[in-house]
Amino acid sequence: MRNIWTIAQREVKAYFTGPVGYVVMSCWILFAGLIFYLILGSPSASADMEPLFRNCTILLIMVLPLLTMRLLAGERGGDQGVGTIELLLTSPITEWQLVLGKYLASMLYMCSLVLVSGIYAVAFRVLGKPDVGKIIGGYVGFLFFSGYVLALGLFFSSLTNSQIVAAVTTIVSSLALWLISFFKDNPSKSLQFLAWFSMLGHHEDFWRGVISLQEVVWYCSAIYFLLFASKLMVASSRWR
Amino acid sequence: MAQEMNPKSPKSPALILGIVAGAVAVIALVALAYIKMQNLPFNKGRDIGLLAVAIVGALTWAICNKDELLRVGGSRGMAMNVNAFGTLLAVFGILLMVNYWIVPRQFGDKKLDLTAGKYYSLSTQTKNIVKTIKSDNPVELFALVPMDRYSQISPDTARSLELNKKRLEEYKRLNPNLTVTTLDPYVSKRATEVAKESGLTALPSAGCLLRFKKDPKAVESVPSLDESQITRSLSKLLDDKGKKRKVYFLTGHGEVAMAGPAGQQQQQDPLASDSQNLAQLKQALTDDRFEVVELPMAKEIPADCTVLATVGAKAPFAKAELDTMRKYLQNNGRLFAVLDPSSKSNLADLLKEYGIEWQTGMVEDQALSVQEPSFFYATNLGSHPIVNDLKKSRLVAVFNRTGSFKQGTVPTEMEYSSLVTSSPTSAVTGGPKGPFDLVAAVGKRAPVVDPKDDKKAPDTKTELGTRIVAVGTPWFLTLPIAGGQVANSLIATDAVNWLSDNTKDMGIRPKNPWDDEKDRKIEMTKAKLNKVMLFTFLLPLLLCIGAGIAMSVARSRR
Repeated sequence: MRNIWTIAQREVKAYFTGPVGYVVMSCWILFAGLIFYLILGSPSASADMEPLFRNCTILLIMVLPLLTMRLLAGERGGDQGVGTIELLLTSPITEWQLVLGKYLASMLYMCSLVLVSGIYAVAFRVLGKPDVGKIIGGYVGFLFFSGYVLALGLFFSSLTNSQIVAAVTTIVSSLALWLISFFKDNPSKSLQFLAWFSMLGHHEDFWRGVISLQEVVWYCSAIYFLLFASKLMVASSRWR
Repeated sequence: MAQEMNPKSPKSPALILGIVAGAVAVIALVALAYIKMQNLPFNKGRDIGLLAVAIVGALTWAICNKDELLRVGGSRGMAMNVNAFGTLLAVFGILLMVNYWIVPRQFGDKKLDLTAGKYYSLSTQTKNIVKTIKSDNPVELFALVPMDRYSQISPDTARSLELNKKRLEEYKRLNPNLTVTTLDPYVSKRATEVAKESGLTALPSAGCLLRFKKDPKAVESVPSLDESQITRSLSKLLDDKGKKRKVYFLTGHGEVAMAGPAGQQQQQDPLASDSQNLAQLKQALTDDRFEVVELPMAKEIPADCTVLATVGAKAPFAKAELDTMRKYLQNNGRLFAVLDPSSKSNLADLLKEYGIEWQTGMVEDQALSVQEPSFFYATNLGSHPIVNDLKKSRLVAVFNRTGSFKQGTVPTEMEYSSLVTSSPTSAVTGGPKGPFDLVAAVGKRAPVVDPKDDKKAPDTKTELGTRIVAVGTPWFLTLPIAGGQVANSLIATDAVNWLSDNTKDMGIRPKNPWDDEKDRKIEMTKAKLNKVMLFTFLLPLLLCIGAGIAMSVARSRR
């Protein structure tokens, strides 16, 4: 556990001492703020965070890969990375500790983004009468969704030496996983099964203010699977 | 010199056979995938044949490339890759099984509904009713959704349909003796069979159909997929053979008519008093399995009377009639009394004996008025079984030209409850200021039940005693507008249900998460918007950029 925490601390520090953390945070505030402005400025504005959550999930797909692209690809040394993977693999830490440490760091950074977005909830509370339960559900879903995209980003970062390739593949695959949800209403059972893998279909309940065990287990399983695959990819560096 | 065939030669028969077998296996697999994607019906000969061809082809390819496979598979890297891939596949399989099979079936109903109105959870009444379906007499629910028109409907309707589909899944999870099937009434062959089995010419185009599996002719047709309607119909289906409850409406004192003249529509102007009738209430009570009967005069109240109702009597009751009603109430009777502030009815004298004091002055509320001060909203619902669920849904009541009540001397063992109260801004013309009780009830005080005590709650009429619900205006029951956030008709039907001890049908209300959108509306001015954007957008953005620049400068100095 200590090793995981040490790696996480190092990575969180790297986010806030380098430009990436500030660029990502600025992008987040800029675009989320614009969405918030558009929602408030519309004639049918209501104290409901659902439209903000819905639009911000697309924003997360674009922004979060910028956080994960350097986590493992950077360690391999491509695209101005530090190239310390050999050092890490020969040090007394396991592949799991490495992967979990990196993932924990990105989640901690993500929590800071969620905290910043809390000002929108406060603004809604001041301006109207929002359904607080719905806001809580939305934020819980936000964390699960981010956790999923970060795990996917970490996996793609473990596959390649290039940070750019890692970021682009994460964005493309996240969008693809997002879009397959449109097969949900297709009469074909196979396409419906395919749509089940989309995170969008598993996210609707959170937006509505419902935390369902089924969806929580789905997100936890997906995150576990992606982290496990990342761990295997790191382990494969030993024999490749 | 005998010519030896080189196994790696491009002309080697084994190599050609391997390529052909591999190609055939791939084609067979693609064909199987295509059949599955197109959702074609299962054909034993074709499908198993294709699978066999794919397996034989793959095996032949493997045998033909045996040496190569052994060489590649024998390397350490390959073995570890295969091992890793196998592990990943196994983990994927386990997670898929857990998520697709175990959790939805075993824990599908475990959820936390955080919404204020619990819009995404079935009500306790629904759960109780569904749980009474027995294994020896299972019930079938057919949800009728025209799939081909699904893409043509508006986003709001699609949203409602999605929500209703989720609710139906919850019905299904509550009791295995209730099966839920979604059918397209236009194209599904099963829909035609269902209609035929139930003796119907065709199924309705929307809503759902409830029937007993063993007795398909016992059918309840539900016009929509709304929870309140499904549950009421289910309750009706299960209880159809039960004892009919009778509500007697007194007539002969200028009471509001049960129905308008034939062919005449109810007044659309909510303030118009003439031509108002109780047709809507009668329909709602009939839907709740009450038999509504008119009673010309209360010389004698029939023994099968579950609830006695008098709505807006304009003329006073004769002394003998009041005595009959008094005797009826003393004998654990149930009275639904709707008074008219513009009449001189002496019913108030009877109510006073039970602690409900009538105040004749007309209540007005300027702050919550709809069109004029005497036509207003009352948003304060009290704490009573009749209104508890409605209060949770933040429903309101509408009143017009109403009198009010106050608590008088209540008989011992009975308690007075205010169900709907006007706001503190209300007032009686030239009289005192509000709040005023607009709907009130008296009933036996609920016994304090020790949780450790196994003793059952009272369940007989004698134990529950006399009950009265009083309303300050007949207009309350004749409101032509229904639905949305207005709870008038729900309060009226639940009052009759409470009076008749029929608690299982109480509080089932239409739940629509979009109903409270009006409450959440934000009125934004430009100045307000600018202020909000300054604090939520500009300041945080400038702070973040500033912090980034400061960090960058600090790093470059180091």
